[in-house]
Amino acid sequence: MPENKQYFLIDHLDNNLSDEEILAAEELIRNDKDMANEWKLLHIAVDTIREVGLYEQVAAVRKQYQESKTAAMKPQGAVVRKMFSNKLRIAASILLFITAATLYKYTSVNSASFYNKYYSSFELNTSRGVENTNAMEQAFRNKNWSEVVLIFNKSAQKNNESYFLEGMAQMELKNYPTAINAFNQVMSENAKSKENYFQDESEYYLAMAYLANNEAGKAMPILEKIKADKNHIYHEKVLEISSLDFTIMKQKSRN
Amino acid sequence: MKVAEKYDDIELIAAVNNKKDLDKAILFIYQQYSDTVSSFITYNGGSDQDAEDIFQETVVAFIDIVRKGKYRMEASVKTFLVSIAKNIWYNEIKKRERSGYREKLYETSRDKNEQDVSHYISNREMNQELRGLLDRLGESCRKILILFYYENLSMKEIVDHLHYENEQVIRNKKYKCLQQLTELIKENPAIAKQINELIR
Repeated sequence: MPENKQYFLIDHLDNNLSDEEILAAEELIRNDKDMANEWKLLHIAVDTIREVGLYEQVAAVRKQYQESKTAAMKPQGAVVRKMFSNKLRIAASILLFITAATLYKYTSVNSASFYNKYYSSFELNTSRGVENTNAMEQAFRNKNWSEVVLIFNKSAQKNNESYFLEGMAQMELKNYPTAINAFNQVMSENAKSKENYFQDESEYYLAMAYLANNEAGKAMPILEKIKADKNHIYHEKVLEISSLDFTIMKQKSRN
Repeated sequence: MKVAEKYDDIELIAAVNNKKDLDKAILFIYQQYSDTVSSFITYNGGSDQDAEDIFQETVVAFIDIVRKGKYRMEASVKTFLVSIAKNIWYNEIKKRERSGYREKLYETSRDKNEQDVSHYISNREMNQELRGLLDRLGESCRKILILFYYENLSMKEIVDHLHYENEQVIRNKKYKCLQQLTELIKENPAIAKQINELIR
């Protein structure tokens, strides 16, 4: 086939012909079998080119998709920037955890929780009783708190021990204001007599009673005093209180 | 991973038909449907590489069908893509001379959609052969022909793109490249025979 005829068909295919040339090209295709076949081959060739172009475009997107998918699945830390990013993530996670834990701790520590965590019942020392409180002591040891209160109320002769035991019985009965009065009474008697009979016990349980009564503002100074006093018999017990709990309660007691 | 545009089926067809939106449409198709098709291929004996290759063929065939106006939306895009993939995979299995396996799968899985799709993609094997011919033209011919006939760039744009001396040089080279391609098609007996049957 003459080259100029084939180029003529290519120009027709590319819409580069004038109207007259188009008519001539159409006539050529109609009347010349070789030209008709060539015309169809050109169309197949162009369809192939277009398909290859499309194939390449899809392949490029496929590559982009697979790379992003692989990157998404790759374990963090393969790249220096990501390692740094990971460290930040870990730090942020730890910070978040600490913040959450602190927040939880701060909100969860209150007078009631503090009291529940650190209150323990008083155990009466057998060598410490006096004769006229035997019945009361016996009721106390039997944890018969109502009987303790009853004996105390009937007792004409009250002393620091009876006030204290009555206060402890009121604590066990959850009558905290009454317990507070009883412990204050012990300290008042000691102040008058210049003695320290059941003083330390009353101070410590007074603080506990205040906490139970949601009066941390009154409880914490007492506990701080005990904590600072190495000779106080409840010093070690107060030291057992977590510093964080102590600090939080001190902070809250000031608010 | 970059999130593709969201399309419903009608919007997707519109995007496929709009050249400037085609990349986004293809990415959407990959993100939405590649896992479904890949699962089918690997479940039916294909490797992961097979699944990726078959899905690429599927996307090309789908876009071609859509652009030729042959997709009538009688089935959803997802169903249609899966049907195309099944047909391409069955043909691939046949090509690999695993016809027993293929027939078993085909008899249990084909449905109306697949038969229709099978008709659409009946020439794909020949098209694969034809694509190979373009590679034999050399890189410069390949680029010029794709830029002109697929990217629809003007001669001036191609000059800028490929740094040729002037438009006439490109024009002459394009003549020769297209001519070479038609010669290669004619020289390949298997392709020529199929084409003769098609154009008779």
